[in-house]
Amino acid sequence: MKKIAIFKSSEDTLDKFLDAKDEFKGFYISNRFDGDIDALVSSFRTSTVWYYPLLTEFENKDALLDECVDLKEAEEICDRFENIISNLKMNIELFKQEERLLLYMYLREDFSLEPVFDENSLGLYRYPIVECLSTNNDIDWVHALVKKEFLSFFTLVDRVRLCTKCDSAHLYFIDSCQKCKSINIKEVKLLHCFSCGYVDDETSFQAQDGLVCPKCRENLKLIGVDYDLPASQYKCQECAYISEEPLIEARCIRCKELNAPEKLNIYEYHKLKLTLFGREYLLSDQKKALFSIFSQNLRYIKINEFKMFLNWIISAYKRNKDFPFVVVLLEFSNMDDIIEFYGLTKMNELFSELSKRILEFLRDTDMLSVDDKYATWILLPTTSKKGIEDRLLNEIKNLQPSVGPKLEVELKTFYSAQESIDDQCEVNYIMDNLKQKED
Amino acid sequence: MLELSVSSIIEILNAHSSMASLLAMFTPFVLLLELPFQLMVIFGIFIWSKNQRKLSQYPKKFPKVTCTLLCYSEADEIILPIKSLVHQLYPGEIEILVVVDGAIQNKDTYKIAMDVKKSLNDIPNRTIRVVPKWQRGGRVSSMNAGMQLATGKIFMALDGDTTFENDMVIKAVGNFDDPNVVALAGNLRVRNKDTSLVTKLQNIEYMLSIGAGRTGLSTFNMVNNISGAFGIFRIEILKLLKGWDNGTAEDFDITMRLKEHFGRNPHWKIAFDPHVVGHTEVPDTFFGFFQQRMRWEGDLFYILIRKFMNNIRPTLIGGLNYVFTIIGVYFFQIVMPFVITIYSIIMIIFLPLEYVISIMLIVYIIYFAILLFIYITYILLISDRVKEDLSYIIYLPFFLLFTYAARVNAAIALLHSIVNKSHLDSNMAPWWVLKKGHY
Repeated sequence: MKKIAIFKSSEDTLDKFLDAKDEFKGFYISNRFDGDIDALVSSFRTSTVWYYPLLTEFENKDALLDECVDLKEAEEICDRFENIISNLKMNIELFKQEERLLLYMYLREDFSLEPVFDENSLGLYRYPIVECLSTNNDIDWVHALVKKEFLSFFTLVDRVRLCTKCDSAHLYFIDSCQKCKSINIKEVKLLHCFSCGYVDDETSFQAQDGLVCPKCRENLKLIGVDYDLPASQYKCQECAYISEEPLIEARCIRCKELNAPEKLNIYEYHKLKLTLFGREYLLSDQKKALFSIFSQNLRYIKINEFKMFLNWIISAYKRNKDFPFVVVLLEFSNMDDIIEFYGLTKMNELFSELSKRILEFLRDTDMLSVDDKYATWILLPTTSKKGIEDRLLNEIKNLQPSVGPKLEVELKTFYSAQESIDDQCEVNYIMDNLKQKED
Repeated sequence: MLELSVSSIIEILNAHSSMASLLAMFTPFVLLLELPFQLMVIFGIFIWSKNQRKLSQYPKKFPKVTCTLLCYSEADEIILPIKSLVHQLYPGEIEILVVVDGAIQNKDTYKIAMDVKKSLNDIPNRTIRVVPKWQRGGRVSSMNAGMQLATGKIFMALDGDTTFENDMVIKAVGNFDDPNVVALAGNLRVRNKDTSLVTKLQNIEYMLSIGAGRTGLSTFNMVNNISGAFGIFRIEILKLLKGWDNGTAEDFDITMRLKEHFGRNPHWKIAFDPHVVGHTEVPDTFFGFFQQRMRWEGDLFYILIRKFMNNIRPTLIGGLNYVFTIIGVYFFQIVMPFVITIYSIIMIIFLPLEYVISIMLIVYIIYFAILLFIYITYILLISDRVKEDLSYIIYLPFFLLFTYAARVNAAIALLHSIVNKSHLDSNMAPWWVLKKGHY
């Protein structure tokens, strides 16, 4: 029975729980915890248990923490997590950052990924969980997920303008003289008396009972007929230049770059939600689904069994060179693009046909396996003849779709007859060598 | 011909044994109705002038003011009106609602309004809101929309092509220091007064009928119309009236509906301030002028006869207002044009030409004397642009002919309205809106 790990004091560290033999279904920070919560939370979300619920007994606003609940509710939540995770049957350790984010959002009911205002951050907002899950500093991959429709923009939170040089949102605006760029400018309202043509600052026209021209003493009552007030003007106190608009520039606090306001990069921060499509993608990894069918068709053996047989045949060969063998590695390098372009159904048809053709030229004694990186391994005992590559490549070439992108295949072979096999040579050595071998 | 006319005048004068009998000839029109009415106006102006010296120039309080600018297809003509409101000298808050009626077909106006809003949005205490009414609904719906959106305590309904003097708001608000003032009619002057003879004559007409006439009437709380292009209300009174009514001559309509409350609220006042000034464009051709008046007079008949005939009662609108409405509105505006027209036709048919000219000349001289007196009174007691207004005195002799032609035109307009229900064919609102009116 899995338990909840409770952080009760500063002595309860994450490592302590992870090193313990017990298995945990969730984590809970009690009111009594006197350690550094921020440090705990960020180390938790970058640890191997990053996706687990981290609940608190106290109200919290940290985006990396889950809800504030009592222990009884915590049990229920952790059970729900545990139930979902056990049903997923995924190798979470192998997840890339994209899948990790999707899983994190999927596990949390009605979760929205919210930008958090942080005056110290470059762009004024951060997505804390994204930073924890990222392998590098950028968040472009989150946008790629939106583009793929796995995530969707939900609410626009803010729009910030960024420095064109360093992408900082820490800018301030300065208005200055269009001519001499001095910041010593003043807004003046110029008044134009139509009766004598005198122009001056509005204040010099102000009399006790309205506006009176200081030059011709005319009572100015009707705008457009007696006088006009052109829109506010800006007068430089240094060079006396008068302009309709001041020169406005945005100065970056970080790199001091002066930017024209209209040239500033605009960045919008949204709340993001996991889409139905994103959920489906997570739950049925398409590549995984495709290879699963592919390997079923090929009557594959598990990779460990494959390694066992290979080990046996290497040992046999070491004793008697009359039992040569060939190892073939088949890798498909552009699977993601191909699936995205043709769709899962079409690719499934192609791979079914491919499996049929491969089976046709394999003998009963040949063995086949697919590893967790979706590479296909074929062991051909008592074979020394060259030309297997050409036959396989030819079959694949015939299968390629006539229009659209082609399936890129890398085929590498190990011929025992041509390689020197000494006493130290064993399974992993051969397999690793093949993976690293150039075409 | 001239000799004949002069001898006719002498003949007419000699035919009357005494001055009394000569005057008696014109008694029904001049002495009994026109003269007392004009004397009352002059008397009112004198009282106003006396009270004016006691009033302080500036208001005690500066409530928020909402100016609703009613726009349709004015395009860049709305720039100056908006500017004239934004640059008011009023120290309080001014909200400017630019209501664009039929903003779909009037995209230019809407776009210009938005541009002006953008360029003038940083002036303290001034807010510009552009209200696009996509479907055209007419002036009334625009004013009512403005009323609903207004957040100010004083509401101004203003025409989109009218510009306002920079002390308009401050002086308008000053009138509301008197808690009994529920509405204020603004004074309209002619902006394009020097474009042609007809605009010069209309300038005199605006000075005398609005500037002088309403000043005199306002002393007796008998303002006959709160112009739709320039009406100012306490917002709570406007809401009590539930805004303007669908139909043409909506400004006269709301004035009448306001007066219907005078019986129950005898202390209520509709004020007129000749120094609360807006400048508007008038037709610059005689054809344009007569066409405009054709519409106005026709609409007046619709309001006076079709809508309000049963509501003109001394108990409802107050005794003095009742007398004024019957004489000043019903008799002068509806009966007089017919009387003058028919009288002229009969004279031309039954009297020798030289006799007709002679009578006309005598009438002309009497009217000119009254006109000159009112004009001088206006210049001395009311005008705030004495030099400018006085320069139009040379056009005064033509003005009487102009009014005569306008009266004949009014008779035709009234006839058109009676026979053809021309008020249902106004360009102030689309026909589908006008047809839904009840009258």
